Amino acid sequence: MVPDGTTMVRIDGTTLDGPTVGKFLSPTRFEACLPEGVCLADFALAADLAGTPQLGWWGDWRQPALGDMYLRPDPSTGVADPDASHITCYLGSFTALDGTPLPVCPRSVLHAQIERLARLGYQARAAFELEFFLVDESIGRARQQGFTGLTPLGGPGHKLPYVTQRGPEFLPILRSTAWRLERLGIPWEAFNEEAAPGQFELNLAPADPLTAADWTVRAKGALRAAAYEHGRAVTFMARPFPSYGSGLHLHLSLWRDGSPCFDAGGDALGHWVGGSLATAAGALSVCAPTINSFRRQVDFAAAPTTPTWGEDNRGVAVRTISRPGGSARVEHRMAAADANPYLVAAVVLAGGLAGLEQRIDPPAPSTNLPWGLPDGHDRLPASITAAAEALAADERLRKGLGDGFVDHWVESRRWEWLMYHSEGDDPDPAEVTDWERRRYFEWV
Amino acid sequence: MHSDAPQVTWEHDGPPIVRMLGASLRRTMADPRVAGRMGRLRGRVALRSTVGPQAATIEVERGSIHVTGGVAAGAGVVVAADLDTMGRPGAAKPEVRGALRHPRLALGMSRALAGPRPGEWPAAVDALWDWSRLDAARPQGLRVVCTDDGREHVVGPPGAPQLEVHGPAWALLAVFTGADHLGAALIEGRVQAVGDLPALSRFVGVATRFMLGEDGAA
Repeated sequence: MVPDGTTMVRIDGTTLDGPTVGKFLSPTRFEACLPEGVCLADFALAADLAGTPQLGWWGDWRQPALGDMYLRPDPSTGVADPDASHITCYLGSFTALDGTPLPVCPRSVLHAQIERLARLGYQARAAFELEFFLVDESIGRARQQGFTGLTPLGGPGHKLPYVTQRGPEFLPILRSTAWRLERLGIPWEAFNEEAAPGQFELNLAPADPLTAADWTVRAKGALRAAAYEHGRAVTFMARPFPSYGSGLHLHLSLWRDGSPCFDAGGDALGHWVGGSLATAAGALSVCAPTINSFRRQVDFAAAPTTPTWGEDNRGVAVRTISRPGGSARVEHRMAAADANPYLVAAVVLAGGLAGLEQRIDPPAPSTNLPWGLPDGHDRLPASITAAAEALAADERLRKGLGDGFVDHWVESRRWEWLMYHSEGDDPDPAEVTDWERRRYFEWV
Repeated sequence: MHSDAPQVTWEHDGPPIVRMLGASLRRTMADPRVAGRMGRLRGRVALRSTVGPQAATIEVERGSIHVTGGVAAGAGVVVAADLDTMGRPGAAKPEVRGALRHPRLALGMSRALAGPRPGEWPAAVDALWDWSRLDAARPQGLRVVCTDDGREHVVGPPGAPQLEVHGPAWALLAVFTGADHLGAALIEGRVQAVGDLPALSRFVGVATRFMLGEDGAA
């Protein structure tokens, strides 16, 4: 399984919050641990982003005394590290010692939705749009500064979206990123400057949802490595600065027997949208996982704040894009850049699946700007706790994602809220806090 | 609860300090003397941290008490305290502003917020235990040991308790009245525990729900 020339093997999985965790192994040890994988303490999936053990609940998937779980490598993901070709990298899924997928393994939760979709006779194609901020400071410098006083690449002044005339300032990083993506076998489609100072977007090509999420996890690593190479730092915080926030939009199309299902005709698109909106409040908990996510979740900040949909409407939660044939798709716009790509895809599929299974009709489309609306309009949850409550109460998402995942996730979001108010700020100030930057800047 | 006791409510989706204060006041209203006194008061009292931005305002309106985040405009009495160390030995005394102009309000609220004395920690254990009687996360028995004097208090069915919590009286009082987070108190060493980790973690959840004034049945 290990290619010739490999002197080290790296296996990565993601925690619920998104950081990659795993181990570097000798090739001999790697071969010996197959197919189960390598042991990690299950604590890795029950600690917060500061490494503090989360107390207050206990999932049945856990060992009673910080025992082992497996990180099982997916052989199809093997690739040489672009920065060290002698290291072969694998992505994996977390399992119990008997090989059963853990209910809180993000990759396994997504895999389960793909299997559910297949049982209905569908396949999905997905593509992530990854927004991020680059800053002038190196990651080392940023750490020394406590992630405060950072300068967005290109300066803090206002700027236009899609501007290209400042290419020389950021092209070295984008070129280095593209070089790494190509070596990782990740087809990228476009880079562009986004609307906020220092903000950029990377569009990846469509793939099956598991591969699309794998690519996004690795693309984030490629961006970090490219920024490091050039003495800069990158962050996927939802809103590190007062300007626009960063999203993780997911474009998705549905297929059956090789034919697209979201083009004209058929009920699939309507039911998909109906299910997505019926579960939007609970799905937001997964799509906006941090305290900082909800700084983006405000009107006129480019994030949807209402459970609405519309054709080519960028203010809504679900934007339908009618194109002939296989280009017809929906853009799920709720996710913030700090969300875990596996879980975003999983909750999107779970919502759409609920729509297909229960034949949920969508509400009327929104043709208006769904921001700045007066009271009385349905709105998405406005806080991490409100979104978690919505997820806890959503039987459709519980059915899809599983009680084991939902219960753990909901408690972990309440924990995040408690940590913020215990260690950070209380009540919420209008500005991003130092606590948020310290906790999220380099970890989400 | 005293039938004429003021109804205590708090800001929907409020931060922990709001919920903790609201929950504490709601429990205090079970004492008819305190409830009767509070039922005759009117005004706003703010509690502000001297070491962080935490703040809450308690609005008393003859028969109702409502807690919101922040220091409300028009708060007649403002109490400034180190909320991280309040109640611990050697903690600085809170500073009170406005007590001279609103003596009844200040006195009534100080009594309502004073809570039990450290020696009364067994009663606090009983109160939390009773509150959580429908909570499946409650352990099979709890032994609480005061490290000041070795006094023990056991709750739950006969037999060996599933969990033990040890600590000085002031720390036991804080975690069992919901003034301190049991998980944080454990991690930071204010209290210690003996028992299996799943039961302990679940009990931290019970204590957290009690602290935040949530329904006793999880």
